Amino acid sequence: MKRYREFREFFSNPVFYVVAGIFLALSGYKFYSLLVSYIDFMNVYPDYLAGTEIKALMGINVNSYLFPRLFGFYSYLVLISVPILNSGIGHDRFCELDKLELTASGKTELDLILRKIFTTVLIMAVILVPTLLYPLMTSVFTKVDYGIILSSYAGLMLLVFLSSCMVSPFSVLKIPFAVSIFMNMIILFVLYLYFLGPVFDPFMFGIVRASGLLFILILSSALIFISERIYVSTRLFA
Amino acid sequence: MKRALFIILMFIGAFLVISFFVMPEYKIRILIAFALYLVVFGFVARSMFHYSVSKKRLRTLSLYVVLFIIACAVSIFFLGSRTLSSYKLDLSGGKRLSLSPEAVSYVKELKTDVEIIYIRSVNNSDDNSLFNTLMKEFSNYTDRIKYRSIHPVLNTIEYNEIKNKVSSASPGGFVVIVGDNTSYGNKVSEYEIINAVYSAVVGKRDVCYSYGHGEPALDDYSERGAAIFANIMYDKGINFVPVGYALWDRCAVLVMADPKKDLTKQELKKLLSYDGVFIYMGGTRLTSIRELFFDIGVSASSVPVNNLKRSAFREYDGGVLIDKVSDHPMFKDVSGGIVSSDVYELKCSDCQKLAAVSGDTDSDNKPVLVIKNNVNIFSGENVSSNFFMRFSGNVQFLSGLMNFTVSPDLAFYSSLRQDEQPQLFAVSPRYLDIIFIIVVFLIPIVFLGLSILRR
Repeated sequence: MKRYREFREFFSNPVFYVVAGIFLALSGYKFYSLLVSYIDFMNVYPDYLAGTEIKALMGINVNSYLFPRLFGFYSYLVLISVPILNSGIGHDRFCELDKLELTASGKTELDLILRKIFTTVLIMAVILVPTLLYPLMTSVFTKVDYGIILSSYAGLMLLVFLSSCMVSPFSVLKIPFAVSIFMNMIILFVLYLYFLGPVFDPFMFGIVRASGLLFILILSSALIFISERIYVSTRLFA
Repeated sequence: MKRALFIILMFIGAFLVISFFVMPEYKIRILIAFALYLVVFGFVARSMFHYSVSKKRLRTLSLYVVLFIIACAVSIFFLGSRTLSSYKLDLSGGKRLSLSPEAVSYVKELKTDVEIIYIRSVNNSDDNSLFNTLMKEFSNYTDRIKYRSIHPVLNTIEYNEIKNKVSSASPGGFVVIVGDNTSYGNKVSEYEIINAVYSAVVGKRDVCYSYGHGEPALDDYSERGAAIFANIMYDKGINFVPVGYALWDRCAVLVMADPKKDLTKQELKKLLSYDGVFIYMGGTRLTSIRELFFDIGVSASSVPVNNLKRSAFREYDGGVLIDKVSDHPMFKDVSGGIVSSDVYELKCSDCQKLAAVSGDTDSDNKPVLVIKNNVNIFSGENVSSNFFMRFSGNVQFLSGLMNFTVSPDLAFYSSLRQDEQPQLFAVSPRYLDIIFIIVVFLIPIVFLGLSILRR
């Protein structure tokens, strides 16, 4: 992996560690606060036995209360992190590094785009590794549903992949770094809130839908194609 | 020339996409044609892209291609998602987010059209989204079920028509219509929906209701009457038919609720030789009732359980909260408290003990609901009276009890899913502090420290 320039850059760049540190601090605090709120919630359970509130408590356990909310929060953190981590090609074009690779090493535009996308996915996976500790910590006190954890991480990685594809069309443009990040964040948040949320929500509850996977596959393919077209066109007409 | 060719190709593509929706019977052929079309289009677009010399034309062409790809992606998604809508993988423990296999096999075998109408609450704070989610799941397995929601204010005429057919229908519940048959469910759940569908498909099932010993009348709307019980059961597909002693042996199911007078020797003899399902709901103060149970093999106390939690309903004569002690199918949909005015302890050696008085310790939990062979005994007094039918738990419990006894062949006898039960969970403050330090400070600080080292 280290033979890719992006990996070397990421792991030698303080930006990666800062993003990872903030990501883990926020997700850790969210995990802790959800754990405390769940304990408080369950402490009042016996008082509600005679009331209608028992209806609201039915179906609630650690797995259905804590993890969907926690992974829902990760989703928003991913939407913030991905535009920062995947702003590579625009930067490369400013430094004219892409010309070097396209001409000297015989790579195509598509290769570069795919490499940036998969680098982002792997970098996010590295950031998410310490979060595996949260379900492990929970498993000390109760039985954890690892099926939900597995599907939630799968959903999260697919969200990272799709988000990376979504930021690609803007990332390949030769526009200032901050503008690209800001625009991509806005686009991702709007799309997630209005369109992508229902696709990824089932993953957080342990459901992997074939229609959701198809959606991700088609949309990501279309976005990669569009990114490549934009990249080629802007290079040709520059 | 090239532009004309490109426009013609775009039209052919649009025609194929529209054809797929308009002529679903030729789905496969259209898909093959579309695949061929994409190949041809790819070649043509590529040649036009490469040999075109004008930059302006090239840019326009690129835009067209991008738009076309977006259109194709959207079309393929809609076509594919429709086909794949029923395919999913449930990784949750116990597959608690999927319909039970019994329910799925039941709806797959439906031979009649079923319409399910959910009645929304006036302020829209209801289970409509849950209803739609569940019905969507059901629709994945059958085309027989159609569903919709109505609003009692916005769809007043339709709501009134439903109320005329099903008197206990109210906002938050749903009505199942199968031809002339109807049934009603007052809570949105997989169990309640499949139960209501079953009731509407098979029609009303008659159950004998004994009279002549001071039992509450089925048309009495006073506090001690049983009219609400009878109405709710009727809407759920169970029709109570009052029968006297002479006809008991012709009944498949016989219900006796809160008798006030002792049974005669002949009646006791008839009940002992009765081979249908006998459901008794009421106190065991009467000597003849205790004798009957003794002969069956259940010892009943003549005095009510006295260490009761009476605080909740002191204004009435007592009020006993009953806990289930067994995950029996009849409790599948019980989420509220079951309440009766008084209960009597039941003892038996080889019977199923299903419910007990709610107590502080396990030794306080005295059995009050037992099943022995074909006899169901619940020693709660007035549980089916109009007053106590106000409690949702009583309605859910009696519905479950009647369904279990009346229709033992029902499809949804899967055991309760443990994941649906609340789990008591506690972490000591010391461990919470350790968790806080590790997840909020330690792990992020390691990464932030590395960022300083990498500068």
